[in-house]
Amino acid sequence: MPHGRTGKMLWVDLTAGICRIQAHDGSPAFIGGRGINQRLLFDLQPEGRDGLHPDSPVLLSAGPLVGTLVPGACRLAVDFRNIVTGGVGSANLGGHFAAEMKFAGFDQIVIRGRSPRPVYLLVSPETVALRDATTIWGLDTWETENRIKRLENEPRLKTVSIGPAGENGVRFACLIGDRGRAAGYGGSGAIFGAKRLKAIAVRGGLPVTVARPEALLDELMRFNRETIETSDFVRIHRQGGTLAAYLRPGENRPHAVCNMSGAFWDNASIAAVDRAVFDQRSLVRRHACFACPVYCSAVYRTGDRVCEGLQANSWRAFASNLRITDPEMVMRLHALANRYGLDGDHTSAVLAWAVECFQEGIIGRNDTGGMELNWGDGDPLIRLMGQIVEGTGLGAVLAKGLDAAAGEIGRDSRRLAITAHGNALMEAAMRSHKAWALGIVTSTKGGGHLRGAPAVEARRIPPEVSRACFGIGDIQDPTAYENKGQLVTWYENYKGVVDMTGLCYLPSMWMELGLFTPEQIARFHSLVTGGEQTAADLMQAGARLQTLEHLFNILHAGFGRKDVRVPEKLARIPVDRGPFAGQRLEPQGWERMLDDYYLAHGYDAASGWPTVERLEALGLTEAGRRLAAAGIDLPSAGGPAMM
Amino acid sequence: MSITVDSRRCVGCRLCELACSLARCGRFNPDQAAIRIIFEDDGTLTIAITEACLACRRPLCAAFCPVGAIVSGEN
Repeated sequence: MPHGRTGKMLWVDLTAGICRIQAHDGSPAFIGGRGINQRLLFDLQPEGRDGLHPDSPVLLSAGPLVGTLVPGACRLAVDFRNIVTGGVGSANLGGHFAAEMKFAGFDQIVIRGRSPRPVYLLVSPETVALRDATTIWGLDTWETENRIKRLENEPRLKTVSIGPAGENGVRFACLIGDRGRAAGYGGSGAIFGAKRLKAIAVRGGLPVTVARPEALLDELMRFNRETIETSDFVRIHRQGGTLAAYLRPGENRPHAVCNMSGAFWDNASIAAVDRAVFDQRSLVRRHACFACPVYCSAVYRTGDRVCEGLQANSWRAFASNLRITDPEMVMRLHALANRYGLDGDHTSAVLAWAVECFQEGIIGRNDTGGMELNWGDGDPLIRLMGQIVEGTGLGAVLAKGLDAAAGEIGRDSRRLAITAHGNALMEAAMRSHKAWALGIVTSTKGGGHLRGAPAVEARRIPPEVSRACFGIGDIQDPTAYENKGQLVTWYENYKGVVDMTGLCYLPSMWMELGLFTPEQIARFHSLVTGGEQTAADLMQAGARLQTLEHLFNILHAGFGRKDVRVPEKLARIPVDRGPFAGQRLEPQGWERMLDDYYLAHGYDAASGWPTVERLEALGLTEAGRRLAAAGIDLPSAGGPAMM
Repeated sequence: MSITVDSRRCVGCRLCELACSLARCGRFNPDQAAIRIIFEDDGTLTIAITEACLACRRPLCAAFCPVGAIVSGEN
């Protein structure tokens, strides 16, 4: 048995009802997790088939560090063709599912086809089977998990499942695990729904071995003592997760307010829905994902149920971006999104856009079925969420996603829709923090802050530190455009390493420079797998993955530099007050950052496409041939890569 | 030696299960651990020690617990 891997993958053909177990040798070039998913997706995804087509695969993988004591190694990579953008679909979820999947015996599950009837996939050391899900079709994600545990008489099962949103094809439906862990962007829930796959349930029992257990133990003890237990990041997040870190009273931090129209929310509003308010009202306990000593999450009571959350992202989605200051309503919206199986970011984006359209007179009561949509009024939004899931009323339009909804409504509503590559954005600080904004928009999965957008940009890192860490110059001023393209490139490659090994991006260099450096990840990776890959090797693998995803986006969606645009609203409306007053995304500065970004990646700056030389250097020449076969000529003679 | 657990402190990371299985078997497998975290329906957790627990002199379960929910002692 290989170390850090089970050495097995599971192929599921839902059309034929066949499960096939296959041994695999691993992939030094793509490591694991998102890497091996994207590598296989590139080969398997037929051209001319959208992500909902039975021939289109969805892949789940747990990286080599998952299932070990390496802190935070718990992430599940879910990869597919994005049904919002048409390009790369790639989501990532924490919790306990990924480790349980490995203990059940599999590094990777590949699902294709469409079942003639609703099913769920059961995976354990004793059983790999498709089970009838007719009786649970229609249930929300929480009830689905409960019911499968009862049906299988196994309370220790871990599930990822879809709710009614995925069943009904909402374009931004997602998978939910652990009652609050979402594989959010790109519509994976709708893809499960189209495949008539209600859930995957896993139960372990098999071991994960490591190459050098005693040396790993020593390294873990040292790392925990010297890094985890001395980290400011860890100390703050243990107090209350990203909410504790994000909501500092009086800090005037940028937020997303009222459909990202404003960047600052008054302290009284924030105080009404501060972390302490939620803790006082409904905290059951602090909560950790599998193998994570940071325990940044929490379990809250909501009604007669319990729910995982609320983190800064869901707070931004259902408090500030909708201007809701009723903590009960914020929690209801958060819990409902999880139960329906809706991506919180996209849900917030379409709801906030609908409210702003109503406020500006673009839509009226005729469109809303008589409802009045006002900032801070959650009850109509609860009804609208129900319509989205049921496909009725205005909800039927919103269920198509923000970009499509703006196209359908027309009437100049698109100027209020903030999107990248057709994907809805729901982000803070994009006007003021320039690398943050660039990383959000260049994300190969269409948009979002969990790729190259560096959270450390807000920390005003001294030039000597940025030179030592990243090999690049001054990045101290968040509002400056200089050196930011290089910084985003570095983080895109680094995020690839995090995702391929199965680590969590939160307690990493994304947030604090001392946490999980590439050198540290390489040490853990070597002790676990017995491989000899250096930090530079891993970062090169990150660049390879990033570039492969660009190729996928070129092949299936035609994306390039022309699509990496400043969202118009963020260029038009500056920050109105606070320390970043007057900041906005200026087109000239944006283009300079893009020039730097493509140069740092070794791509052609005019098209934004990788050059044939870059593909060769990364071992991707064969992947490039597929584009050539499709009549796509990649540019030649690009600039030097940063790696 | 003794092991004392306080379920009210537990955050459910299951590092103790991993550490125990490594100590007992030299590999990671929560099913082979002598300690188990039970996730209750009401959101609370229970730390359960099985009869297989050896109350190790330097228990790894306690060493890896990030919240002090598992404490080793002389008795």
